[in-house]
Amino acid sequence: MACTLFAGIDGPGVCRVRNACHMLRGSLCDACTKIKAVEEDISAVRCSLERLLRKHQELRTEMNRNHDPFVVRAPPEVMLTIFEFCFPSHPWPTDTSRPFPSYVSDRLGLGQVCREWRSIAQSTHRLWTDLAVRVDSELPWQIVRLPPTIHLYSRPNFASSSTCHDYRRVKAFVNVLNDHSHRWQTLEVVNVPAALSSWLTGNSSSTSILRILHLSPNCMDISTGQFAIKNSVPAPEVRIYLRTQSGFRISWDNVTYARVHTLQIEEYINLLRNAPKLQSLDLDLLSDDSDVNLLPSQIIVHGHLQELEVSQYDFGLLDLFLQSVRCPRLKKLKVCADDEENLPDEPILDILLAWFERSGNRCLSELNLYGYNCGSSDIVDFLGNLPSLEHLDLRPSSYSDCVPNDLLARLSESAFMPDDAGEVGLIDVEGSAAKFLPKLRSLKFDGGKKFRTSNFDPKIAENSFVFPWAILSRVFGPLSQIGSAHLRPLRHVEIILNTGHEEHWDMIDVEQACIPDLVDVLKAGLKLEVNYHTMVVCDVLQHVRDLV
Amino acid sequence: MVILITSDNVKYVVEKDVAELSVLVKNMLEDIGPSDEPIPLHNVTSTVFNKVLEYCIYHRNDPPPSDDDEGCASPLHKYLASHICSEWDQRFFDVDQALLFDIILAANYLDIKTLLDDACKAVAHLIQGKSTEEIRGIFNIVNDFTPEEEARVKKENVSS
Repeated sequence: MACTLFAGIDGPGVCRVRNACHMLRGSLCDACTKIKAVEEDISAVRCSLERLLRKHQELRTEMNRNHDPFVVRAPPEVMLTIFEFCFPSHPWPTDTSRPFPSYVSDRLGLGQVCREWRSIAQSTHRLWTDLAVRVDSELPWQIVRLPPTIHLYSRPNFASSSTCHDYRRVKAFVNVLNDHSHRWQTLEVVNVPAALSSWLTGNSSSTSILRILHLSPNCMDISTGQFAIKNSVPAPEVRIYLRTQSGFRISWDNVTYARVHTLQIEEYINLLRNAPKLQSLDLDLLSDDSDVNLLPSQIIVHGHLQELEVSQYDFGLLDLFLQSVRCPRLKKLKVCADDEENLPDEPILDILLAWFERSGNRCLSELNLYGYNCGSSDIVDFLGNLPSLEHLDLRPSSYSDCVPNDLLARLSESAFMPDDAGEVGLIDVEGSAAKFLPKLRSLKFDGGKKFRTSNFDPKIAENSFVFPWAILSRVFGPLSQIGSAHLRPLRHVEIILNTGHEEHWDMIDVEQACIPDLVDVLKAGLKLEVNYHTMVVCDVLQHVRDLV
Repeated sequence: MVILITSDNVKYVVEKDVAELSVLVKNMLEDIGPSDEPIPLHNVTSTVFNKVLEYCIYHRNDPPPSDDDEGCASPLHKYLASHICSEWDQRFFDVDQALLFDIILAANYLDIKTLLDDACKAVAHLIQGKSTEEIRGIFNIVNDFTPEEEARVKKENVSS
């Protein structure tokens, strides 16, 4: 029978004894017996060493507590605040020439300082929610836990100066990202050539949770690409921010929010056609080389779109765009004209009114009209056709003579609405007894520099207007009727003035006779503000109230 | 005027609006009502309170921090907020590290959010861009990871 010693211990310099002892039957030979004893000693010493090493490390941790009393004395939330300030998250790096922003390595570096810091860093969730990285980073990318927000960018001249090696490296990097596309929640791709962006395809073996996609290729980039995620189950709602040139295509099926700029008008219209779930669209109409012949002959009726923002429009293009689409369920419309481009004879109000009629829209509840140029009474007539409005924000062009006086007068006259007041609408405009903006809850009017200030000089400011303090105090209607179903539910009126430079602005004098009524409005809990359009916060009425 | 006594028994007579920048003091004043009784500040020494007072007097007319500062701020807002803009503040926090840490602890105890945030930014500034060893040096910390833990931590960093 062979020696029974088969087991042993492993470790540096110690060989595991596996050979059976053939010298004695059923028992160990002398050497085996001694080896076994030595190995048991080694094992005991190793245990002892491990215990000492553990104790040593524990003492070092304790030493840190003694030597670094700040971390011990400061509550964890203070340390969390410090860590958060170390690595503020911001949209994307301002210095794209840096190969690798320190965000990730530094954040991990915090956890390398000591156990206490590691514990705090790991528990600071907000440190780990986003990642900003240049796509051609030199660092090896084997991301195990990709954060839900990823900002990708490339150096400005990547497309023109990159070698095949650079592209291979980017491809490898993008492949890693694609493998983890099930973790993409916000993907922001900025200044990355469209051709590279098109590599971001996700993968077909996982479900997408992408909620926000921000694509903004370099404006000098002439490459084209298609962004389409292959993930088997796409996210039900995606918000897209796209600033790009034509030729860059994406899958619009599940897009519910799109902020899209610098496209051709026909591309916007196609976007509406291809994005059936779109609820909110923000676009500009700057393009002047649109081919009218490319416009679809069939009108798009988009039944889901609830919010539309059009900025920097050209009147012709706006009309063309609105001729091609119908939005019967639109609830919020924001139209922002380029102030300097806007001419007095541009029929913006007519264009919009005609579009509401064509769309059969009866539910517009919020209107923001910026940079328009028309008379004070024209805007009142226009608004008379929009009885569903609840929130109104008007910012006439600085070249316009439009002041809120007529509108405030009309609102104050019609604040109390008896039952027999006629309903008004887009088609059936009634007489003066008709309800005017019966659902209006808030009004904001940026009045510019059109009002006479305390330093009013009639020779210089011939076209200035007297600020309508008396009307303003009545704009909410009889205060005794607040809460009545017959009173317009207006609760917030804000007039913004711009009367000069921040440092030297002139005050608008408050009519003394109106002060008691104005103060009563404030006391009734209504929000009435007259603010100066300046960095200095100054609510004239609160100031008056404080004085009273 | 409000009378405040630090932990080393130094008495300060402070204008009420300045003292009330501390939520702790403000709450105590509300609790005790009109009184000339001094308010003890158990956890703050006079050396530290001198600095706290200097900050409060300089910032007494600042608008209170808005709700946006409480955690729902936009990334850009947080980015801007993370930079100490004022030259005065930069000079104010240019103190030795021990005092800076004590200011943080005092601001936390006295519940002066703006001072706490600004002081935390100053400490964050000390950490930013520093290597692990440099940070250990600043905070007088020794490496207490076991060799295995350290290897794992380093691997994490490299793989990212």
